[in-house]
Amino acid sequence: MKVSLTTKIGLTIVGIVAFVLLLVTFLNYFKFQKTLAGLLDSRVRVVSLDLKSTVEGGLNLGLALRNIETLQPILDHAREINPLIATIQVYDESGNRLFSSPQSDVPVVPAEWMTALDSAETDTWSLAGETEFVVGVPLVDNLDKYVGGLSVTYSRSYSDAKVDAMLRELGEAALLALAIFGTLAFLAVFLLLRDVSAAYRRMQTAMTLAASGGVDPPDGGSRTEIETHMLMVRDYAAGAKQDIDRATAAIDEIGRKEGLPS
Amino acid sequence: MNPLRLVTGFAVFAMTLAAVLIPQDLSAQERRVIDNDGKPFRIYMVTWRGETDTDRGFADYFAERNISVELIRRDANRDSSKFPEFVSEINALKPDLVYTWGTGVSLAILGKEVEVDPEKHVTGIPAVFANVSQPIGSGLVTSARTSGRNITGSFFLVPEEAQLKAMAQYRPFNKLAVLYNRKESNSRLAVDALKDLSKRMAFEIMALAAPLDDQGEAIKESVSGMVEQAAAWKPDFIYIPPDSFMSRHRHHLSRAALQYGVPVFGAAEGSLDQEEDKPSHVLMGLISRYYNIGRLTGHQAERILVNRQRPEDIPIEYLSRFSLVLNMNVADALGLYPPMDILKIAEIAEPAEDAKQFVPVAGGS
Amino acid sequence: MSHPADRSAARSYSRRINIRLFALTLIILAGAAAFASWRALDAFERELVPEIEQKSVTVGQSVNDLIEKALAIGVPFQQMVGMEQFLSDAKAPHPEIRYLAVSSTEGGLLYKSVSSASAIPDEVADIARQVISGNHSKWVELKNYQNTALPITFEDRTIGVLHVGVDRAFVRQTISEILYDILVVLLISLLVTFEVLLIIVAISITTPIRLMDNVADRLREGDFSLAVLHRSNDEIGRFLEAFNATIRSINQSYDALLNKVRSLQQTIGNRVVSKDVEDILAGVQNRFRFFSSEGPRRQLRESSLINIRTPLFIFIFAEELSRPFFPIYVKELYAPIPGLTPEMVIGLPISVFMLMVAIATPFAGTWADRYGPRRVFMIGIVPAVIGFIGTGLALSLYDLLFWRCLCAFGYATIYIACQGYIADNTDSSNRAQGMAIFMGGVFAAGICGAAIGGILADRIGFRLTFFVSTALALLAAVLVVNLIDPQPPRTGAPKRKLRLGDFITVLGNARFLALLLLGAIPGKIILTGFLFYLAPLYLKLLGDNQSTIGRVLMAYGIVTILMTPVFAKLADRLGAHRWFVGLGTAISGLGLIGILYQQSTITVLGGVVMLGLGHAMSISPQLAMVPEICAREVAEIGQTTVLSVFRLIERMGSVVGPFIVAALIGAFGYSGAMAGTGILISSAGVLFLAVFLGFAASGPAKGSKS
Repeated sequence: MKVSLTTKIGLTIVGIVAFVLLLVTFLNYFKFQKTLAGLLDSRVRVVSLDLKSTVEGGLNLGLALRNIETLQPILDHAREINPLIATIQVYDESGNRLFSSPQSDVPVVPAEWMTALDSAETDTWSLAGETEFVVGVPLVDNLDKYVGGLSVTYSRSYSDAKVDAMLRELGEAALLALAIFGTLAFLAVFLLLRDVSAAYRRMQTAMTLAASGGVDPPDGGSRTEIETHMLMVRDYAAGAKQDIDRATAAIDEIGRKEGLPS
Repeated sequence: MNPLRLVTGFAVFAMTLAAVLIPQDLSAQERRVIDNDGKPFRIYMVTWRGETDTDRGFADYFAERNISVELIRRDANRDSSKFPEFVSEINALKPDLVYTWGTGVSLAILGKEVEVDPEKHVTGIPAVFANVSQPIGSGLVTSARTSGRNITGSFFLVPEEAQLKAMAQYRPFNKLAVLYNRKESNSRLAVDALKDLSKRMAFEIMALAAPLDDQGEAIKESVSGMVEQAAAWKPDFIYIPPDSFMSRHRHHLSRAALQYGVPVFGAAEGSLDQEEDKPSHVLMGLISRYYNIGRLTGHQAERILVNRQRPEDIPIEYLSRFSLVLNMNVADALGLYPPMDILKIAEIAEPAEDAKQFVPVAGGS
Repeated sequence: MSHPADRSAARSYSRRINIRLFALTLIILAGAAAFASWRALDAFERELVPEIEQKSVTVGQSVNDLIEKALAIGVPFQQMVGMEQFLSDAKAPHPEIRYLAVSSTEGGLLYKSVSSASAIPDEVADIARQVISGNHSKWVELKNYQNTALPITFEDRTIGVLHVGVDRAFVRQTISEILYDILVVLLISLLVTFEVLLIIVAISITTPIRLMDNVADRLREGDFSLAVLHRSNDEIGRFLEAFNATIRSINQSYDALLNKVRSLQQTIGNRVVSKDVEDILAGVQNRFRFFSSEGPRRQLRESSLINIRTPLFIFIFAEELSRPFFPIYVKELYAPIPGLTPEMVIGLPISVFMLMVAIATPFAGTWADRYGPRRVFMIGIVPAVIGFIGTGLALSLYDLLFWRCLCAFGYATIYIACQGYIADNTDSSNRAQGMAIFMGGVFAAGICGAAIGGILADRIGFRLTFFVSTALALLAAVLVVNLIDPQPPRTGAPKRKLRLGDFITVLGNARFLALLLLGAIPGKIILTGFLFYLAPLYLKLLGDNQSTIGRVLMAYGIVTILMTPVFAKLADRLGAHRWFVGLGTAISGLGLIGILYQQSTITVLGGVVMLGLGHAMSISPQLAMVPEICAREVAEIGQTTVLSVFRLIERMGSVVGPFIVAALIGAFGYSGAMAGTGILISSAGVLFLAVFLGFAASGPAKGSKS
């Protein structure tokens, strides 16, 4: 199979372009994921901190966490006006669920929440679970005693779907870019190497002609240095061949003189 | 697919194990009633003037925490002669803990730190004190870090600096008028502290003591005049220290202040009380609520009884958050509305009487 | 013997092709990346704008809750106090929100908080009126902002409007935040492009042209005994076939001639005739040389040095990926080791790696001699791959040390294998150039590795990045199998092994010792102690992410790769090697002291750049100085041996570097340790100058000019 120089180098450049596009897509994808997660997280955080101040206001009045009866409708309302939010839960320091919107029968919250709560360094913590994201805040009463926590969960599928769609879209854009710029690359390489290819093709023809004793094609004035150099070499080779041929002829001559059949 | 899964596998397993075991363990502990080897903890409570919110907060705390207690309640009913009788009863009953309410009761039962007498005071039984305005000033203890003996308790007054900061947050001020009764040690200590702070925080202070009658008691009729005198100085706030005389006459005092358009700040719950016959027109106060002090005392009792901590290892504490009480009715009458930051944390008092009627129409702004 | 003019013509011709291809690729790459980013921006805007709106609504609701509470307890809408502070606090955690403003029923602004360099657009008054009459929230896209307007209700009536303004540039900013990353990717891909294009152009254009040139030159001298061995199906390959065919046909003619001569000589024994025939034949043979049909046909084939550069590049790249985060990774696995401070324990894996490299290098050298570079490269890849996997999965500090030992062993082996390959395929005339190709690959890999490693670590985490290293190392192995021919074991005299006596001989030279202690070892200490160990930890402490750390470390490679040739030429021309070593060492430490004045990423970057500059000045002159100051020892045991001793002892600096810096951290904290290292190294440089200028003044030993 004939492979031209253009194909070879063109493919190399296309390979590199593909590599770069892959990396750029990768970077954009992760940036989108991070930005979206950040937006959702900070949105839920606003709700969580508002609820925290409501709950702590109740604690300030001396109410025990489990006795803040106004909390349930407040949680329900907060969930209602924020469709992103899946659940809002309030629990005591042992992880027993005290309030939940929507109401839940499970008596305790996941143990990871309690671990996250214990190791949280700031006033909020976040967890990324298999199916949901969780934002949590600790609840502190006016004895400076940590009395429990409040967690807001929101579904992972919402952001996952968006992120997946974005990946597809970025991928398509990358393929389009590859198609456009790959074609351009081929075109440019073709133009760039046209002279080289042509020169070598001419030299090839010239060499082949020389080997078969033909005549040079006319010089269109586009000869490169190397081509001139090669033609000189070719002519020299041709000269050498003539010399050998002449010697052969001389030998033949001697042979004939000696009466041998040639 | 993800090689990290392999690595974290163990950790996940361990966490799952924890998820299965720990909450049940904890919730079991939560449901269990905490007691003293099958018997309730016995707490001997001495109060001064009947049951207050402090006592209710104290009792509620145990209920909340599922701690079984037997409360032996004794009330002096404002009679200091009953104290020796209480001390001997305590020594006879040998309760697990003693609770004392107020400065007088605490000093009588527990003694000043420097003059504790095992004959006259309870020494062998751990004790917690509540509602002592000046635990250090009164000599009950000498250091907030530790009592150095078998007692602990709480500060129930809010530090003056915190109060001034709350006032400044409401409305930056340069002139502060303080009305007090020089017969009360709490008030004298507060005025001294405020004078100190006036240098550091750069504001002018005018301290007006109520005139005394022949018996050396403050004259209640003088209150309106004092307000007038203060108002003439054009202060930004009138400040009432934790002064029982001024608290008792809060209605007159605050009503007079309304007339001159001066906001009043109360440093103790007493000056903010809205009773039918004695409504208060104090604009705001930064206070430790009796109920919360009771819960804080309950928390200290829990540490002694349940966690077996020595009282001398438990410092004399403040509440970590004070209650900012706001009378919107007064704010409205004075046209002096609270900034949003204060609104965010304030508790809004229910006024017992409309304040607007006392503000002269011309002086409303 | 050749025709230099034609030769250089051929070379400049291929260089021209290289430059054009490189420029072309640069344009294409930038274009493609710009196109993809532009599309991404579009998609980001479409997807993120609704999310931002949702968030504005949530923040707005939170603000409205308190405003409505204030209204409910009797604060008049017109007389709310401290609104500016409140709105500004509500805005603070959300950088994209540029203003919060409250309009009254009439549309006038009552309260507002505006971020710097922002202004509330005039349209809000109109919007407010629409919201009040419509009694529902409204989202409008204005020229510079997305304005979300929420009604403020009091006693079931809308009495005002809250405006939440989000900068429309926010989405654009999120894209521009990764601009640095994309630029780094472009830079890296250009380096990669350079590597790949170099090899492709070398294989398919440059090398055949050079071979053809060689053959053509011999041809002109009448030597037809050579052909070009090059197989490819492109234009050049086909031309070369024709070219070879021409040579072949001449050889065939010659063969025919020989046959004729032979048969003639067999049939006639006539001496006179025979003499004539031989004269003719000799006439041909004198002028030309051919390959005889029986003998081996000599073909020219060049083992391209470029062939080894790509696998080496990829392997070093794999190793360097962990550069910006390795100490931070170690910190995560920290376990106490008795007798060592925590900082020393964190530095330990780097030291152990360097120690293992130092130990393994002599063995690797022996093997390279015995088995040839290709096999040694493959020997090295096995422990390296196992080491990378192990490092990525490490359970504790202890097994991590083991895995790093394997990596170090592989690293040393492969490094030596590549050096051996270059030694095998060059002679004294082009060895320096060969080594330059080799070092160029190593430096380029260092630059790319640090930068890409940082980006990867940020995105996929430390552990997975080691698996990327694993995959790359395997790729390097595949390339070696395909690009490098098995070579027979090196013939000739086996290399002289290092002996203890050599150390004694060389270390007896006080100036050699001074060069080691005041130039070479400080250079290594600052490299491993500061660049590999302290800088990543310190930058992390300053709050930088891994990408930034990678970019800072990358600066060292960029500066050295750019400046080393410049300084090396300058030092040679001025004959001032010792000045360059001394000043370079002093400069390399100087930048680190700046941290005392300002503790920031920029200062650390400054330190890294100065370090690069200092090393660019000092490293090559150090090597040049060795024969200068060890003339006697070189005469006695040979230059190679002296250099081996130098290298071996110098590596001890790499081993102790992290320890010294860790001890400084323990004593003075991070900033103090950085400045301390700088002061230490700079003093060594100054001392070096004092010692050597003192020698120059007192002794007759003058640096030989080369």
